[in-house]
Amino acid sequence: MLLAISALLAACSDLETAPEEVFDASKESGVLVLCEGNFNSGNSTLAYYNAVTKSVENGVFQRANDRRLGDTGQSITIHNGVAYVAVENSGVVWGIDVATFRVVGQLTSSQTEHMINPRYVQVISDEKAYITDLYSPYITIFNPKTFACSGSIHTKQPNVGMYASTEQMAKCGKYVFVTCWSYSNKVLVVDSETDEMVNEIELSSMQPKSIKADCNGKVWVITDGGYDTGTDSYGENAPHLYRIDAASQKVELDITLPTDEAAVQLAVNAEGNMLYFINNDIYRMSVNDETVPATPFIEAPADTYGKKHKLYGISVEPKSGEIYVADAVDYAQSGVVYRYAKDGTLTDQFRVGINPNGFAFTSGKTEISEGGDPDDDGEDDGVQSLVNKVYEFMPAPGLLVNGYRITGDFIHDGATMQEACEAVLSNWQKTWSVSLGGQGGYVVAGFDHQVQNSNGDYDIAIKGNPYSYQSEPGIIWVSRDDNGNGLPDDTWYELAGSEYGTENETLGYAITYYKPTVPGQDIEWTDNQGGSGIIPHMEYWNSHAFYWQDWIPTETDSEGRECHTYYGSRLKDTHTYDEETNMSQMPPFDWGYADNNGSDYFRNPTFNSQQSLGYYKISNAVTSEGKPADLDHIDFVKVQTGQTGWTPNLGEISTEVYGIWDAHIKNKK
Amino acid sequence: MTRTAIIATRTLVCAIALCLCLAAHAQEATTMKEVNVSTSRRLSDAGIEKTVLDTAVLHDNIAYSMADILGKNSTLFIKSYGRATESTAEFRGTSPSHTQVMWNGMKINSPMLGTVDFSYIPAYFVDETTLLHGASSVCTTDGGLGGAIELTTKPIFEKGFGMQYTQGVGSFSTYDQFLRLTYGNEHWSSSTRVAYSHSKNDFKYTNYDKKVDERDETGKIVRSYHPTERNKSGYFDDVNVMQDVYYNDLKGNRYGAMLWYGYSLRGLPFLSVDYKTDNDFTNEHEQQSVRALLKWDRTKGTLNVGMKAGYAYQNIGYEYSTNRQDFTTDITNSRSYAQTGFVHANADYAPSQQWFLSASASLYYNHVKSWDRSPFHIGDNYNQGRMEENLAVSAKWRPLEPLTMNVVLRETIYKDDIVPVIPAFFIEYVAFKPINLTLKASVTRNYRYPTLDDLYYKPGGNPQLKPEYGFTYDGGIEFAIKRKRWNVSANVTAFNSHITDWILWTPNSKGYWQPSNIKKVHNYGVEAMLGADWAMGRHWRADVTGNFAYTPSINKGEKRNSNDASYGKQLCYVPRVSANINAKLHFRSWTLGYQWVHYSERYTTTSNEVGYITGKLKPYYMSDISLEKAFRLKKASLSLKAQLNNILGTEYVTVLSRPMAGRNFEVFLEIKY
Repeated sequence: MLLAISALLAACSDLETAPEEVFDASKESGVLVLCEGNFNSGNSTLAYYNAVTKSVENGVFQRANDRRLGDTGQSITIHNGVAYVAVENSGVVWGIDVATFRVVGQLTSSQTEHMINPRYVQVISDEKAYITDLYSPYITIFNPKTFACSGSIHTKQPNVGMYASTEQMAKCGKYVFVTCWSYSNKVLVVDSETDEMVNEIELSSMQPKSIKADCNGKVWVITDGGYDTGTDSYGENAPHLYRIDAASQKVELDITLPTDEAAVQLAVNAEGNMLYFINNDIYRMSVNDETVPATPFIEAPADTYGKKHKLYGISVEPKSGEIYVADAVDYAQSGVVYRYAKDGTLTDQFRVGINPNGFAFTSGKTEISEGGDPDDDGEDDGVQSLVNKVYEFMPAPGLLVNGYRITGDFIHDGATMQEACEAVLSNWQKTWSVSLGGQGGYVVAGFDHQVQNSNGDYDIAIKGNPYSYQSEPGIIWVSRDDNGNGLPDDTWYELAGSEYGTENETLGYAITYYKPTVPGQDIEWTDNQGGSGIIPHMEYWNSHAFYWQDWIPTETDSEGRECHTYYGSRLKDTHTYDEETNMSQMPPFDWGYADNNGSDYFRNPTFNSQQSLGYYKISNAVTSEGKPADLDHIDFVKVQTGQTGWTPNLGEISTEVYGIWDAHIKNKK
Repeated sequence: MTRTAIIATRTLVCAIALCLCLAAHAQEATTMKEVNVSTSRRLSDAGIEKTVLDTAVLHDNIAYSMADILGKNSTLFIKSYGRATESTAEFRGTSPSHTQVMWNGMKINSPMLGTVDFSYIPAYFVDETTLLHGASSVCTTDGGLGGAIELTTKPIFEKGFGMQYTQGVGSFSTYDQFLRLTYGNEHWSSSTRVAYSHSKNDFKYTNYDKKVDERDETGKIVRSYHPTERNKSGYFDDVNVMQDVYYNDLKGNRYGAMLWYGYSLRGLPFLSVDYKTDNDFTNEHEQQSVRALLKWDRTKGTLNVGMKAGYAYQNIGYEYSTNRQDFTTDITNSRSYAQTGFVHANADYAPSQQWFLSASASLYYNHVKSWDRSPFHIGDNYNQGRMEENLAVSAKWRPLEPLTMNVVLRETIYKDDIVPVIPAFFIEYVAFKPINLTLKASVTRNYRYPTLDDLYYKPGGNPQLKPEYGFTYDGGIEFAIKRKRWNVSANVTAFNSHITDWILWTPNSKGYWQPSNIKKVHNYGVEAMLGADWAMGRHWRADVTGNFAYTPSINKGEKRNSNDASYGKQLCYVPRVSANINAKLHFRSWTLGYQWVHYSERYTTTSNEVGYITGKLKPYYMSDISLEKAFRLKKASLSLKAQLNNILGTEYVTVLSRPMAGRNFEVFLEIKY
């Protein structure tokens, strides 16, 4: 219910909250492509390219985190499974889990004393990393694990007629070499043990930009040479390539590059023995060479009419030696990434976001989650994983159960139980939602085969729509067709969840709802524990006059009121509601409940959270005395809403079910 | 163009200007009986597509700038992200620099950018606005590839002293005050206007671009939510003062003098994705401007002559700096000074009912000096002046009563460069007189010359740029039915326009931007306007105006390379459809107003990506409502007005990462004496 309501809320507005999608990029090697976007537009994005399947997912940061990456994503670097992305004009450095793309931490300009526009991140150790800055005369130090700022290094650069800014970094031994790009010709040397600037190296050309360390204890620097527009110039406008000896901190080699058109950028392979750079085309040279090859290693792709693509953002994949470069086209549309094999053959090209400028590589060795794909039809050996028949649909009153304009109107007014059951099954075949209404409301369904108890493994999969803070737990019951009549008229066994046997769960609970007599009326209830309450009528969400289904049988109580009683177990109501933000929190229980974001609720790696699944074990089935039921198999499943609460913004807590599957068959898919 | 041709044209400009003066002088001596020129009035407008916004529309709300007025009352698309932020106007899906703006006959487009920021023009400082769509702009100036806007101040009619004071108080600590003092007699008219607007403009909004994760001690997220933030650094202080004096000798000579001073200090709002603390930063625009104009015109018999001289000065500063505990850094800043000198002479001659001839010559001298400091450039941008000489002649001919034709020829020299002659042809046919059912058509080949920034800006400016070149034709139909109790008028125009050598700035590999003539754009579509009023009863009256524009603006430029997916796509930030409705219901001294504005979705990339969330902006629908009550006192009148903007409280953006205010109000008290 909550999900459907969030969607509607959003429909009223231009801007909206979106579900956080679940990704799993842990299986195969891939590439994170940082797309800078346009300055002052806030449209920087992160793309993920699966290097094995050659598929691309764009905007994964936004999709996984329901927030923007920011304005002008400048650089990306990976350390210990976390991608550090410096988003310059937003004043933030993100830490992103490379497998899930979820934010694990961030350092913002406001949390530091000296950071303004972060440019690049250099990890020094597991506890220390440096951030360069376009405007600040300081290099900021932070802990890449905790994202706590631990100080800064003053660069002592003048700020008049130039910028005291710092750009790329390369670490060689204990020294970090830092280029000063804007209006400077210096490379600074920082001692990473003392966090002090110990030296500055002046170059013969202006604006050193890119810097890389090789396997010989040398540091390579490329400058853009400044600029010359014909009427105005700074520097000689010719890029240079330098080799600096890290030990002596002296320039050993200075090569003037032939053109001023180049988007100069350096890359080095994992072995540190091969240097790659863009100078219009892509050049490759051994770190032992003293001259630049006369002909390019890879010529920039040219069109039939001879126009060369302007390339930039070069990186070399550490394992395969493959080369990735980008073409921004017109700087205002989705950019193109070229992938070349180690030998320079083009093997793929794909589109990402606006202005791709950096690549980071994920190796795909960490395994995290599991989970099925609810989109598959689950056919296996002539039996299907999804239940094949719904026997009883007995929703308790709730705002999604009658005539609700999004998910409730699949059952028409005046429907019979049989029609309602058919409608439920039809919804599940499309993985659509069915709401069980308030406490006690339930659905009973059966399989076309026996679901075996694997004694310890997950046997049943049930899909709900819980978020991290929005769970609407339902209690799961199972039954075996002991009398063999094919009908669910045998003993029901509760699947004990984490709260079973604790004070959080009341067994033998009965709740009676009173049928409304006036249109728009809240529905009252009383229970066998002396409690009472309502299911609120919320005109805004569902304008149907009565939240009471026509096929629910009623009896008459001593006061002559028509009512219906539901029997089962009740879970403690743990929701909170914040009036100020108009937000509700429904924390999950640990495990064992449907539509509950517990440890047994697995995210689907390729689809979003709406298509994730909860997994449950038949071995948890208990008898009414609380003893293990020891069922070898089951034929029927019942899911029943387990809480009585409601919130002023979203109505009653009601379990949603998108389908019930045999997990053994489903997992084979 | 050859040097000889330039000299020849210049000589011609001077000769014509001189002739006009002499003619005026000669007329002085004669004492012909005054002929009402208004019989030829329709003749002078022959075939022209124009929209007139009168004082009633312009002086609706003191909090409105011309950007608000144009957005709510015309087919123009206003690109803006809130009050007191840069607001430019686009005709028919062209760019803001394709809209030429004239203030009492003097062009006020920035000589640097070629655009006008309408947020700096208070609507109360303009008494009449005329929009000239497409080819019709050639009647007043060159370079209006989209169209032209004429902003006019007018003498007052009331005799004696008058005073008007309006005080507005609104949401987000907004205060608007306006004072106007007037004096008029049969010869003289004087008006002094002062407006001061101040606002913190720190509205609250739910920031959907950020999300806060609350974590427990173990680092597990216990709660995530979109934070509520305030619009940071959105404050503004705008002062405007205008004095105008008119003298009419009642013998056909009218003299006018206008002086307009403006000062603004405006914070530049932070992006919704900015994680910096606004207290640590100053990010603001400061602008100072002076515009002065002297004019004279004389109507005697069938001849009308006029002269104008003007001066404009603009001083624009931008500062972005940080001030922290132990260090201060200028991040970027810039300043520019632009000056314009202007002289103009014109003559209209209507020798008969069939002919209306006119000629004009104008001369502009623009000078700009600017410098900036950014990581890409430190120092002077340029210090350049440019003379622009413009000559125009037109002939309108009405061979038969219902048929009128009009030819305009315009010639401009920019410094030493002659732009090819701009011709425009208009034809109009009144098909059914009782409802003034009129068919119109026009065609032009227009040029827009590169701005000073385009040519000289360091770094990047490109002196090799060619003028942009537009070929436009349109056809339309209009009617106006006037009855005792109700009036209805409507106008539909279809247009087709090709702009070649469109100038576009793109970044280069060094990080700075450079302009080049790279785009071809095909604009076509339909503009429609409807106006109606109805006196329903003794005390009831209603009026409504509506505008609708369908403007596909398709990029047909040469592909940048084979990856370029922008060919055949809609231009960025140009909506295909824009529409507005402005309705008023009057009952006795009460007025209820309702305004609705709609723009269809806009793409933010040239390739019209829809795959990612930032690729397009959702369609925009905005509803505002106002209620006004007038009180009549003995000597004065009083009115109380309440305006509620964004009545649905829509959460939206019109430009990426620029959140807009939710529901907000302003209350105005006006005293008139």
